[in-house]
Amino acid sequence: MSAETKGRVTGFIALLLFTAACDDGGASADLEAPDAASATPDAAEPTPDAATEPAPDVFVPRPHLAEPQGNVFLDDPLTNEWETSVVTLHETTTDDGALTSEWVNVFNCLNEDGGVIAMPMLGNFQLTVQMCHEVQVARPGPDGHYTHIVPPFLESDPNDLFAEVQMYHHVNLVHDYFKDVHGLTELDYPMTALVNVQVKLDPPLPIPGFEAGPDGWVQLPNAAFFPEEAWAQFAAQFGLPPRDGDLILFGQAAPDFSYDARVIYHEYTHAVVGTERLQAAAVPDAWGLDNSSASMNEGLADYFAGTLAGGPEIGVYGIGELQPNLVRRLDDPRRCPADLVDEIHAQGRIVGSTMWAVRDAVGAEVADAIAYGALEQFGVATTHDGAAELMLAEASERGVEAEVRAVFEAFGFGGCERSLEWSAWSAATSRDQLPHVVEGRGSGGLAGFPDGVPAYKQFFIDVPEGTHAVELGWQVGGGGGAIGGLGGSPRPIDLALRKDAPIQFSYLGSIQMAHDALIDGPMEGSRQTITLTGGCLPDGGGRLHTLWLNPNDNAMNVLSMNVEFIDAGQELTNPFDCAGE
Amino acid sequence: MLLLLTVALFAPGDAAALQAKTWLQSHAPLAGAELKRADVRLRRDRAIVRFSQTWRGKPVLDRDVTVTVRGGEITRVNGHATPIRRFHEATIDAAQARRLAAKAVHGHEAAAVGEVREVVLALGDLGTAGFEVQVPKVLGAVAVRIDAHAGRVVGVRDRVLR
Repeated sequence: MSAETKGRVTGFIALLLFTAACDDGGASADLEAPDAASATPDAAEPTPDAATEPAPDVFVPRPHLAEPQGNVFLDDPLTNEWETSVVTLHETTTDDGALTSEWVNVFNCLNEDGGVIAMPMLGNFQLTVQMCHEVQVARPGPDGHYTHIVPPFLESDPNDLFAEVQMYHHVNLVHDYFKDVHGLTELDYPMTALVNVQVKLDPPLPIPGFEAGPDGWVQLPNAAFFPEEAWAQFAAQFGLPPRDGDLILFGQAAPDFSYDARVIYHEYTHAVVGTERLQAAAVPDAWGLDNSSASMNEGLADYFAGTLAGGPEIGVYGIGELQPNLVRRLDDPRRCPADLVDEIHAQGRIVGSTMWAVRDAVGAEVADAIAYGALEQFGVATTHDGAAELMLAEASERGVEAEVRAVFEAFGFGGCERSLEWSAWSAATSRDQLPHVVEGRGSGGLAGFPDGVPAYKQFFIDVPEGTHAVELGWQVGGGGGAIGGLGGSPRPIDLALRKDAPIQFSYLGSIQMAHDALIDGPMEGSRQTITLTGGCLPDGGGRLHTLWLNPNDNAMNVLSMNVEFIDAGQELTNPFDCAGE
Repeated sequence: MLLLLTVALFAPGDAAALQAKTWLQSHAPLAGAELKRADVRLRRDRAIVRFSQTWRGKPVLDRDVTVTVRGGEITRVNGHATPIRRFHEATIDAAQARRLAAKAVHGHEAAAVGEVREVVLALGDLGTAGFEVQVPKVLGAVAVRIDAHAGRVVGVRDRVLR
């Protein structure tokens, strides 16, 4: 954003809050806020000081403290067994104690009218979207502290003030970590953080997990990082100006995502990584496509969240309340190639758990310095291979290269051959309950693959000598990355074969795929089955390498796989002998 | 073949950026890549200079190089910036790209879209003229990549990370 624009635009919040206030000469809404705070249901019982307060219509400025105190969950409600701790908060930069510091600008998003409304067209029908109302509500008590603000009776309270205090403390904390420990100065501004975010949709959309409550407000079970440019696009549809700087946003569902400190650190780390590093969703290489760049954006966000908090579990409360099996444990080793997953949060667990093991080996201070020092040198499409080289160089400077290299080798971090054994497998019963994804011509972001877009990983079959035939089967679902799929009906995908060596791409001069055969297997229902015989199989047995290629526009999910060795004399389903290939 | 490296500097370069530029000019395999200084990060003990790859002045998506300078020495070079040697020209214009992006995200061509910029999609040394179109969604924003040679959407990337 230009300096001129920054001067002209004070942002979304200023527009909402102060347009009316300016009509009466700027009689600030701030003056009324302390009453709003004390009227909330999650404020504690009045203190003796409060009992001596003047009448409510008389504003008495609260003391402005350099070191105010407040209640927070140090980790999250579950880890801390719903016990809050009193911490010293950063001094606010506001006169009235609204929770803005040099590093964060916390807004509550209240379920009340006053939020912006947009009416986008979705296909042939119009949707009305009403945002919750952004207001800074929390204020210090009569003693200048925020300790009167405690967790609400119901964690699903969409307007609680505790979320503001929790967010304020933890964003300041994570900012100071990156600045003081690693020297980061690019985020030296008050980043906006929204808590308790919900929306109203009319008509309600039948999206699982996003059902509207009886009051019409839709729970948002997630947290998000909006880069400044992305928010500008989003805000434009509401006719709103852009913001200065990035935004982190925390939804209110049954769990309140702002209560989970490591979720806050995770989102903030996305801002640290920024929009110029680790952005490439699919990087073409010799094996096909590599999604480790975007996945490291997630995995390092987990790593820094865990190391700052001093614990390996990410999302114990925010994720765990909804889907306990998806809590990400950095001390649960994920290795390449055994644990390759095509969804980036799950795939990010490889770098996350690798660095956690490095942390165990060399200590947090050194491991953090290695991770951050390398991160600063990452580019838009740095993959595991490039990251490993940079991290080893950082480790070498700190005299721990041997220890780090040993961990990397144990985890397959860098130099990993992305190929798994083809075996009976089902996404529904797999550890992460995620399908294999094969991007399409309209989803991978790349142009130029002549035979279809390759998958993120290969599969191999060790064919015993004397094998007559091998039957391979897989079920295809519409793409989108989840088992249910979001990308339309299933379409057949092709399978490349190569005996004795992995299928290999080269990109200079022309796009070449070293392979022996490319099989367009028939689809029955959503299932493709082929039987390989004769020239498709290695002479005398050996390893057969396979790679899916997607000639369709949409990404396809592979939901299950099977393999069967067929004896002579048995009936073959859709046989291919690779003759003429 | 004479390999040329063109490094365009937006602003007067500091010592680290100039040193990085000089190094890149003389080292294969980057020689021949068109690189533009994107940013410089100055840290306690080092400067990290990032160059974005361009082709005929247009940004090549997912391609950049970072150069680390410490104590007057180039200590590391990292990134992807294969020179573009073959190129597929555009057959559609920005207005058509807007319509394709709107239809891909919202199902109809008249839906509102945001900024459109000309880009290059790269695969090895093959460059393809493209557009990147920013499109707002109900609860977010996406960037739509258009292959301007084939006239088709090749990817929709969520701009919001979770």
